[in-house]
Amino acid sequence: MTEATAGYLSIRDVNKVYGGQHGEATTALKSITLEVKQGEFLAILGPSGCGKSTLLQIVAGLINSTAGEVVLNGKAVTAPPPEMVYLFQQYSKSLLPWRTVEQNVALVFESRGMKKREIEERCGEYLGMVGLAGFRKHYPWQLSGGMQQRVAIARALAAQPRVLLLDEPFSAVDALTRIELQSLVLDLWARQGLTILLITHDVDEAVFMADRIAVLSSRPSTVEMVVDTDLPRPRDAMGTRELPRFLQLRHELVEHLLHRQNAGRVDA
Amino acid sequence: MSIAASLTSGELTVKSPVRRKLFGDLARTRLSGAILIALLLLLWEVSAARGWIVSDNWPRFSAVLVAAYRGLLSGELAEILGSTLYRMLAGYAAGCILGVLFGLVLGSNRVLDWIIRPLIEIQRTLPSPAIIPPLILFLGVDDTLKIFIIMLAVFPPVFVNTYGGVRGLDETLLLTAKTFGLSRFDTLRKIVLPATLPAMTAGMRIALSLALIMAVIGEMISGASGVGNYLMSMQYAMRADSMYAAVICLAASGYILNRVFLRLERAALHWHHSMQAE
Repeated sequence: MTEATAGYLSIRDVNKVYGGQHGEATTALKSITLEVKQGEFLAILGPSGCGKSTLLQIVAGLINSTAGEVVLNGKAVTAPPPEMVYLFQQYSKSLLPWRTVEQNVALVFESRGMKKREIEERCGEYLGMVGLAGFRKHYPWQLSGGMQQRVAIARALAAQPRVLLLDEPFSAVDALTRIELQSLVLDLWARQGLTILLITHDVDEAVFMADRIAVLSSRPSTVEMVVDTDLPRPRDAMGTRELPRFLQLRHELVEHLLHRQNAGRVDA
Repeated sequence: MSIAASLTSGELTVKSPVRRKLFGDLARTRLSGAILIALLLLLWEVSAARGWIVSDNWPRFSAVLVAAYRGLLSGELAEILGSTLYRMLAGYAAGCILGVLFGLVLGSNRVLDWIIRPLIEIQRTLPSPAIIPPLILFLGVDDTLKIFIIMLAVFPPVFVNTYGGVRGLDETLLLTAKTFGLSRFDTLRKIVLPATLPAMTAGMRIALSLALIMAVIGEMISGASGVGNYLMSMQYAMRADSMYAAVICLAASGYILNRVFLRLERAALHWHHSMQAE
């Protein structure tokens, strides 16, 4: 099989065009090709509105691409595969406000014919992983933003995915909480042997977390370059950010993005 | 010291803190609303007793209370009220079920929406009492007709709100259901239904008073039972006290039904922000 050699998760020549027919067609994504290895942490870095979320939703099987294909473990993705879970940027809209923290996590177990007792046990287990064991009976809206995103992370892990798709998951929380959550996700990634695709516009976050970074251009989005971060693991919230390699990489990426943005302005 | 003087000097707070506290506290409780009602009823009583208004159609309020008490005790008024409430609740239930059903289906299925909604849009602009006379020809003058017209009046607000609720559902919720692989039925049951519940109950709350209105109108136009019919009979018979007694019983029923509804709504939507204001 050719797929076996092609990598674990392949994004092949994916295009997305909106509108068309009578209206003006907008090309959001143009010939995006990326290979993700099993167990890898890949960050997709791009400016706001460049179609990053669209790309991730296509990978997740939540929306269709106009052309191209996504292949996971040798199978083309046409609907959300059970081994892949999408974590939304807007955690407050993704959690169910009428369910307690525990019941939110239980959502993924309910359709599996598990006993109530077992569900409770499993929920406790996953909430413990994200440090929310004491908040099982709370409602999401009683928690802070960072805690809500932790609930969403626990729920995503409860679905026992092999691949986690993170759509700017830390962009709506404050800076300190963001650092905490980044370390939490890195820890869970290493412990669970996950493959992670992270979408972000935060250069610092991409460099700190990922093995590789794919830089997207603005609309129509193409992959401009892919860089290896080459930073040692486990990453440390403070130490890693002070390494020369970290600073150099961040410098190069920010310079690249700024330069492009200014070039765009001159064109316009 | 007169209150007027204090008020004009603007020093009411300084000169009579006790008085200010008393009235201030009263104004801030539910009691203040009840006091206004009590005062108006007292005015009614006094105006009839003192002969400020002299008319056979203006009995004392106390006489009306006595009539209501006797009517309820003898079972006559109770039975009449009961038959009205029975039809009202039957029509209300039917209208709510249909409104929710159509709202959910048309809100989530575009093809059915295009086919059915124009018809509903026409139906809901029709004043319900206007179609009673033609409906009598088909459904007669019995319970079927009255329950049917109540249902017709209840349907639009429940439908419109449910439909709007489904249409306004956040995309993220539906994508969440998708990424966790929920079936269509589970998505409806566990996501769409609870998320739309606040909109549904808002519609049902409006519909509740409409149901009572239509129940009474239906009885006034046709049939031989219920409060609407009783009101008309008492008017012809010039029995003002019984007429007012029926109106008061109706008002009390409406008030109680509304309170029960709010209680239930609160229990069902305890998680919703609109319920956390107080």
